[in-house]
Amino acid sequence: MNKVQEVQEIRLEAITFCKYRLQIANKSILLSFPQLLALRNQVNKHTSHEVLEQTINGSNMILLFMADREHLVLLDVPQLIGLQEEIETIFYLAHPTFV
Amino acid sequence: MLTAVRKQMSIHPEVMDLLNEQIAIEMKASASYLAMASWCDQRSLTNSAQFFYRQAEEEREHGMKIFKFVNEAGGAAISPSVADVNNDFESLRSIFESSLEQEIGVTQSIYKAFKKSRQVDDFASETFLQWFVTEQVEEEDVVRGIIDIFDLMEGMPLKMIDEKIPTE
Repeated sequence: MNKVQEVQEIRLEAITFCKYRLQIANKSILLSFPQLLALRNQVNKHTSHEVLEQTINGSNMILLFMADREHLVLLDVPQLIGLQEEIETIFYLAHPTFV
Repeated sequence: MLTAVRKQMSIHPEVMDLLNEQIAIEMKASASYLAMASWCDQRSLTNSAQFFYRQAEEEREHGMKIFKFVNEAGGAAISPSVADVNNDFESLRSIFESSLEQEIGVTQSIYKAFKKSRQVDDFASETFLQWFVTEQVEEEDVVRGIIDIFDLMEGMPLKMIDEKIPTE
């Protein structure tokens, strides 16, 4: 497992048919599609209204395992929401090669 | 609309989320029916116990059907945690009334997923859910019929009412 890392900028992109790259500051994490689905599920859980409220009233930080527990990332609430938006973009926006 | 993940999954992500919620509801219903079966079994209400054991199995089968569909459609089915199952009941009639409320809850949740599938043009999920819509009509009807038995046999010994509960 890689070291715990505090993150700054977040970017998620599809790099091949079934591989995605999550860029968190200087760290690059490769995700397969099932790993991306698992990450989406985790992030959605942490960004539900009740959980988010608990987080804000608590430490304001979230630890997330990624890529089948290969990586552990520490995010604050704005970063967590940023990550959720990045993931939703992948799931909901039309792919330029398809349109 | 074709999204970046369309080649990996045919199910719409919002429908997938609702179906995962549905899996949790079906599994909770299964556990709840098991608690009802146990209450009846302990009191030698054998037909009612058999009815609820069968219902518990059926709800689990429904959950599994959705679970497999989500994965087959390229999504990620989530194995749910089942908490807070009520094991305290006051009477056989109240158990069947709870059972009807539970079935209505399941039906409403199916409708929610069905409506979403239609809204986002997820035709495969809509077609898949059609079976559940029809199934729920039958499920609710069976329980309503049993509650009618209680009304018709009011004042009769509980064991006699239990003998009228359908087991198949």
